[in-house]
Amino acid sequence: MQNSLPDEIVYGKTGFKIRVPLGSCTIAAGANEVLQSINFVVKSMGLDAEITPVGCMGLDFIDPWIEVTKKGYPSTIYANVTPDMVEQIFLEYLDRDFSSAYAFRFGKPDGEKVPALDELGVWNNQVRWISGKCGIINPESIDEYVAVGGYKGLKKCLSLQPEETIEELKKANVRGRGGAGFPTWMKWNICKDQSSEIKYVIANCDEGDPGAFMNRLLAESDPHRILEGLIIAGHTIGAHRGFVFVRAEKPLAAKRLLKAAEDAREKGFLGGNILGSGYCFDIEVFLSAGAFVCGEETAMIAAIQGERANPIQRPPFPAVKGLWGMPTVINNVETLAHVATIMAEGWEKFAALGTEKSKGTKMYCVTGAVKRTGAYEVPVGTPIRKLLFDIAGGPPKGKQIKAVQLGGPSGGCVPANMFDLQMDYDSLQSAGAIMGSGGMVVLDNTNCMVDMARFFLSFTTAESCGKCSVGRIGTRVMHETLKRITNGEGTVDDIELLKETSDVMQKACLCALGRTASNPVLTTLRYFEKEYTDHIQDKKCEALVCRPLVTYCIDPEKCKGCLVCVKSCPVQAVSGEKGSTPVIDRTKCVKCGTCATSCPFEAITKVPGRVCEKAVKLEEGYCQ
Amino acid sequence: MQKSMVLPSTPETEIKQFLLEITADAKKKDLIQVLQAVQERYGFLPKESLRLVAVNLGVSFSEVYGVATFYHQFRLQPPGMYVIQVCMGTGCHAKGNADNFEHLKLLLGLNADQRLSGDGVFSLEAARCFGCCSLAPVLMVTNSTGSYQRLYGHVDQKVLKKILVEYREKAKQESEKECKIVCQTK
Repeated sequence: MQNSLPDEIVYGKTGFKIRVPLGSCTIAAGANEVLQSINFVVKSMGLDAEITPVGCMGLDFIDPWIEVTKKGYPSTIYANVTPDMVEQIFLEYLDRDFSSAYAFRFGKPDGEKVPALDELGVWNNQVRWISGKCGIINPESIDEYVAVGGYKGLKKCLSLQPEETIEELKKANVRGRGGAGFPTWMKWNICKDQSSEIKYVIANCDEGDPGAFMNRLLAESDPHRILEGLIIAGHTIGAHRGFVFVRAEKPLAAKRLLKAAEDAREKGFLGGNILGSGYCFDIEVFLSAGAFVCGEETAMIAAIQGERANPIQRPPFPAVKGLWGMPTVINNVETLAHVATIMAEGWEKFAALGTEKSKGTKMYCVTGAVKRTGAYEVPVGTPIRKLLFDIAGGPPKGKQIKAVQLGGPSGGCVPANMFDLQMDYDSLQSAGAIMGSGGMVVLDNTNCMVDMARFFLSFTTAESCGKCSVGRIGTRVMHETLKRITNGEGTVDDIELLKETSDVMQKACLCALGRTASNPVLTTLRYFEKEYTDHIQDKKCEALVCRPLVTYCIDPEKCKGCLVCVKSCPVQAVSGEKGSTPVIDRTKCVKCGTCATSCPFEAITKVPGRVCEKAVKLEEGYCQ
Repeated sequence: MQKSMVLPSTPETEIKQFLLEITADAKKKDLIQVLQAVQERYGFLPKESLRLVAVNLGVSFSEVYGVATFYHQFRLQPPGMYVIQVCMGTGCHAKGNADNFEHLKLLLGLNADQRLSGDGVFSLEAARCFGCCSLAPVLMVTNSTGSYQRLYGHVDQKVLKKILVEYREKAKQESEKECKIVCQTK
């Protein structure tokens, strides 16, 4: 990669910079301990190095990583660093021995075996349009953001008329990245045309979707980009007050956004008379107390007003009548980051990416059964296969990908034989899934699809606000039905009941939470009906997930009669005498699996069905 | 780390005083922030605090109660010294966190709906996604007020056991420290 960043950002003031990522995920993986160790080693080795905390660059599988960059040396990334590795890393680096490195960001020496970042599939298949500075700049330093071209978009916007800004976005054709894909320029235009004196803008950083964390990553790694987009939105529609809506479960994101707002105020990007343009705008970071339904615009507005987050009937849309009855624009933080980047880099570059109908890039969080989990940014319309296999590296050894769950509780499961599907708003919709916020959970043969559907319905049932009876009762009926099926009490009529309830909910629910709640059920029924019939007719869970439909049994050929399982069982269901194969009492067993994990000979296994198939060999001592 | 456990029998005058402080300039729209501040101090929302918030902000008790029961963050029962929040996000579910949750219930000896362990050290909660899905399955251990937080990734039955032992020990030390302070002041 060519290094296009200013020297001070790359090498620091001392010409020797060590980057340590401090995001929630890297801290959980041990980045703070690594940082302490680096501080200690740098001091004891007498290095004149600048240690900079940066954000996360989305390659979660190498957490915690560090990047060492010294003038005259390549910029080198080390993966899965532990505190005791640090000294060795520095010694080797200064000795120009890069054999233990993960990759070079730039300046790869000739003939070196370690690849450059650009040579890795996980990197060169991405287009890092909004996440390009994540993991490079210090998220708590406004100077670094400005040095890499930050607030350029805002300056340009302030010199333009609101109509011209909207024209730019119209040419770029950016659509909302929160999931629904409504054209951003249109939303802004509606709000701009309202005659009200008071207007509001809200950045949606709630990210209630389980399995998606790109908003957290952006807010933690590049918070100023979000603020810049928010100020541009405010200027364009004529608002003077904005909110950033963050969930309380993401305290670090909230902290970084607060710090960013404070710094921006100090530098004159926020507050009165922004950059001498006469435009006044300020923001408030709102810590949500957590409710999935807040993703619905009208519910989010209610939450900011200090009420229960109940959605209300639309229209009027918030762009006409929103927060405290005033015109309000709500955008996902990813959309705002796109806006800031488009204004700085020009719409042409953005529109060159993506498909005919949906331009630009989208961030996806790939988790579950893949080798390289993380948050990746690719052009809209990239096939699922490319993301899962070329970037995320495919399934771990011995596993087989069965399906991918897209778009959280409102999305659906796409089976493996449809992985050539392009990921854009329309193609995904036709497959029954949605783009959603971009969470992708990869499921393999150890995941039961009926159980996944039950899981999502348990989520939406708990999260349904209870205002409309169709949503409240519908989610409950579906959840109870799925619970019955996974408990082995399902009947053939249950599938029909699920389909019928889905149909009613899609038509009659008040908000999108209810209307889309049945998507996980409908897609799993559409693509994995066999698993449902297995559960209902054969009382079997092939994936060994649904507890009532699996059985633990002890293989007498492997068992040495050591009685570890007898001691480990928390409910005293296993009994036996030393030297002989113990017996599991089915009436007491809670199927927790403690015996199986404790067995040193792997003699205890889970088998599908309520009775072990080997039970026929009862006389030979199998399965008691 | 600040001492976390506040018993439900918190003196009413203390709560009154504290609520007067935080609701001084508060309006109706600040209801959620006020409740967050109460929980940050007491670890949960004591019943008397809800009544006082309603009076101080000039809203009905039912409205306050409605908000307090709507959002996940708020607890109406006192938590244990340490709260174990098991992530119930999609990524963690796919990696078997539901089994971990059941196993924790077993280890802590909790009944179907019981969430506080008999010794009062642990309470168990199901949390929404922490956004650390690549470390799935994860759980977070916090103290009752949330001023201490630690996330654990790749949790399995062995890790669970280790966590319980570690925090039991910690809780023991805490209560011994507390005891010493009490003795000294006497």
